[in-house]
Amino acid sequence: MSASIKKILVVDDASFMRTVLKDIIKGNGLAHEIIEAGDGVEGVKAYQTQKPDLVTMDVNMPRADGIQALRAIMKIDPTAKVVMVTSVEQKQIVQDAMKLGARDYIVKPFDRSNVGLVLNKVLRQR
Amino acid sequence: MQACVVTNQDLERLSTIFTKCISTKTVDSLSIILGESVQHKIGKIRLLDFSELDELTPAFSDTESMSAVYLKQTGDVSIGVLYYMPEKDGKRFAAKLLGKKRMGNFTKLGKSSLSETGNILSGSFFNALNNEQDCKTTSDVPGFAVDTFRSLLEFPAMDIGFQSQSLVACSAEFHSQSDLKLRMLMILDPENVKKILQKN
Repeated sequence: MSASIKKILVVDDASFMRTVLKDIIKGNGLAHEIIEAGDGVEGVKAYQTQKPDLVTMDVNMPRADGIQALRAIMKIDPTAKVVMVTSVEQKQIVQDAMKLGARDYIVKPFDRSNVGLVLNKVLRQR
Repeated sequence: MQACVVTNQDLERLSTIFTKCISTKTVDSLSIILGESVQHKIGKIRLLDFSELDELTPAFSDTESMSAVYLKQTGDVSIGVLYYMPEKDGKRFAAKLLGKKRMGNFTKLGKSSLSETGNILSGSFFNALNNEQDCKTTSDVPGFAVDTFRSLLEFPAMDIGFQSQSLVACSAEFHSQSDLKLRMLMILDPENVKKILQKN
């Protein structure tokens, strides 16, 4: 399946970061549809109803945080492709997320070309 | 309870640590966010009594409206961090982040862009502090506000005021190639200064 007909869910409480990620995803032609969620609870609901091909999941969010939401999504779909979005301070959280099944992570502030590479790589994984 | 005493030597050691953290990580992060080079200047660390809070007010901003982001960092140490700039500069900053020529009033996205900038800069700074002094902290959700500097100062002052009658303040100024200026003010109580210095 071509990356250009994929659906990506962006979960972040900061509208600015959602905008930046959408811009990178569009700029790299990675998805035909981008869905947004403002916290972990919305993110899990959106995953259930929209069945996206990939999720970018911020770690720090109100209500359910990124780790809680990741855990819930992996329970719904153990093959889910989730990429964590972290700050440089969160190495331990990244390790925990990878153990829970996250496929990869990207770090804020974003290096746009690296974000494109990581998302593309994960989209192509089985 | 016995008051915690911070010496000039403590302040000098703290200044060295903070300078290293800002110079290595915070500046780089801001440069990546803005997509341009950034210069910085770090002010002297000061020990103040709460009655001397007004001394932190920059000369240019006694009445001017400021745009600001406040974050409280907690964990091994507690530090309040205030990022601020004159409101009109904040709008220029947000416009730049959103790829717009200008911003009239702060939009929701404009506020979010400044809040996230504060969040990312704090992430960078406290990651460096963790590497330097083994101080693990996490950040609260950033709060955005437009107000006078003195009013904005109430946020960190109230957080720290519960613990102490005096505070230690460290300021830094960042100046981008396109003339965007951002100031960072870190406030902590003497006990947390000692905690940072005793770590590592």
